[in-house]
Amino acid sequence: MPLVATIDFISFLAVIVALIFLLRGWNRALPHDIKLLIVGLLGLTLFHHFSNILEWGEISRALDPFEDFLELLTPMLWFMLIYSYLKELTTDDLRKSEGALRESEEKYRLLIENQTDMVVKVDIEGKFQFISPSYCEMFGKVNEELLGKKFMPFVHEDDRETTAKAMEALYYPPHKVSIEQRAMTKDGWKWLSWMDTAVLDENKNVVAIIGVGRDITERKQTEKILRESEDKLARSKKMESLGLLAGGVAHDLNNLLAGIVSYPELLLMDLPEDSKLRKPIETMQESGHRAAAIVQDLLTMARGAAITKEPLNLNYIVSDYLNSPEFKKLEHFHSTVTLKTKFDRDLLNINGSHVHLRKVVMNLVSNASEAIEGSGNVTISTMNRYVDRPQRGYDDVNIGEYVVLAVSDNGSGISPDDLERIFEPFYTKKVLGRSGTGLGLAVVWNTVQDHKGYIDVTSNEIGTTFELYFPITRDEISDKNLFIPIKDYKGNGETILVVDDVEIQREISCKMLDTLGYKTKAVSSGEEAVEYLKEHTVDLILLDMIMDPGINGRETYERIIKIHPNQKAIIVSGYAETTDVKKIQKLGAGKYIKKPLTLERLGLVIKEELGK
Amino acid sequence: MIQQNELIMLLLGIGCMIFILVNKQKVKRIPVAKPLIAGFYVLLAGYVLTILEGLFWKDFLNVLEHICYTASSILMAVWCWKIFAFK
Repeated sequence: MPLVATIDFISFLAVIVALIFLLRGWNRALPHDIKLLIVGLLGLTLFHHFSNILEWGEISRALDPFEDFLELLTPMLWFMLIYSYLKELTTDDLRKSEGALRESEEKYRLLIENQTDMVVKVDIEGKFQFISPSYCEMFGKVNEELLGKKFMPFVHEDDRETTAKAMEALYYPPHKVSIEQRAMTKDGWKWLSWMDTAVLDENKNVVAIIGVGRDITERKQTEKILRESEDKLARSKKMESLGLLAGGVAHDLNNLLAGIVSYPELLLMDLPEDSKLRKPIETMQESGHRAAAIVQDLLTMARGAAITKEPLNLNYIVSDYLNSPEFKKLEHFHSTVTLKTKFDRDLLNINGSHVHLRKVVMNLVSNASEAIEGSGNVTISTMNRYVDRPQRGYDDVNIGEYVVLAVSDNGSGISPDDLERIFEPFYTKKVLGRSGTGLGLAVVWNTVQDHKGYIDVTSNEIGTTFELYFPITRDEISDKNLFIPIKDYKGNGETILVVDDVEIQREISCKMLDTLGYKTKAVSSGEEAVEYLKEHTVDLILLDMIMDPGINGRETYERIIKIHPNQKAIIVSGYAETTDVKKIQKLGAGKYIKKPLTLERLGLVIKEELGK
Repeated sequence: MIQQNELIMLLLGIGCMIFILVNKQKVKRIPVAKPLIAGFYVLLAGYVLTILEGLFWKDFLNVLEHICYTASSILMAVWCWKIFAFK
């Protein structure tokens, strides 16, 4: 059959060609088993055609049993080829998907590992399912330690309720919440901000929660510092305005008190020792002094009150107070309180007012003693302290050298709410009328401010410590004033012009000057003084600084020196040395003395001025 | 006359065809699948014709059977060419 033989021959050639292609491209990236199967299949086909070609010969009959067997292999080889190919494709797919997965995982890993934000996934019970390395780093844990554990124990006790509520909110649209909470990290409590998102299933049920968090401790601290600064500023302004109010009232009271304080002194000088009036007048004088002391407290808060500063040592101030009758009385009243002192023997001096600082010590010790119910200790310490960086506390302490006066007690402490207000005037927790006027700590605060110092208060349930910082001075302490007999500062009939707008003050001043042996003339205003001096001369002028209405002390003196260029004068005021006082002193006026006047102080200053 | 050997061969071929049809989508992903699968189907047609030639039109169907085998071989050669001769 030539036709069939021709066809088979073509087929034979096709298989040969196929084999040639296969062998030439043997190194192509096909699996080896597939290539072998193709070879097998082509080989079988080749054999099949070969046997067909030989069908007309004797050899064909000899190959018949093999042919039947080999022909059966052909569909099986086809099956194996297709099957192997599909298997290879599946493996290849798997390989590719694994590669893609690896790539995806790598991207994801890089993303998670290199971001500073923390990422966690928790189940609905709050147990960790996934924790990013940044979270592990923050909490100083390894992944295995946290997986399956609840996150809530890390949260600060005070923030747990808020956190739990926020978690509940995740069950409702939009299934997102942001929480700020404190958590116990490896570096202690830190503020963390979390943006939580609920993971929902196809039925919109929450199955997990993904949280992205970051450390906001620094921001919180900055906010806290800012808030504290604002509070401090507000508190300072409040104290200042209250102080001004109190000071305003005190100034008027001070003038009124002059009569009660000064007249008894003058009266007692004239009274015989056995006079029946001596005792009541002494009581009057004592009451006047007490009232003056309260007014002085109020004036201290006016932050402009006359404070005469001189170099002094706080150890001496504290010792002075501890030896005073006031302290003995306090000791008697609080007999169960033990007072301890820790003095720094090398304590540096400060520039301050003995009277005010003694009052500060007294108020602090008195408060500390009263804070102790039953028995306890009050400790007064003094120390030198160098602050080399701004120190945050109740007040912010700036860099510098300070002397620190610390008064601490082991009482029940001050509540944080009260701590905010303790320095306010008239703020008191004590039983009204029993002790204090609510001015004690206000005086402390104002005195410290006047001394350009700082206060730090720390209080808890086991006690309170007040630390007062005063800037040091290198000046030496001057000799303490001794009692000077009146003859040493008596005048010799010199003429003194008293210029004061307050009648009672004029009268007192004149009376004192008469006692001191001076001739006096009093006028009620600056204008009157100028007019008087156009016609007359005086040896010295006792000039009040603040006069209302009319020109003040400075302007009066300026006009006077135009008439009498070398006119001697002494300045009198209830307030501190203002710029006006300094100006007037530059023009030639002498010393400045504060009201209320005492005979000795007035006499000494006049004597000194006249002696120039 | 139908030979037992040819019948088994046909049954095996049909089994392979069913496998191909079941995995049709995957089979399509075999590189240059069309000539390869066409080659198999033509071969299977050859098996059918082998059976049929035992029943009727022996000479004619025999020629067709051989044509089928040849077509199958040519398609296989085309597949090999496309797979192994091109990069």
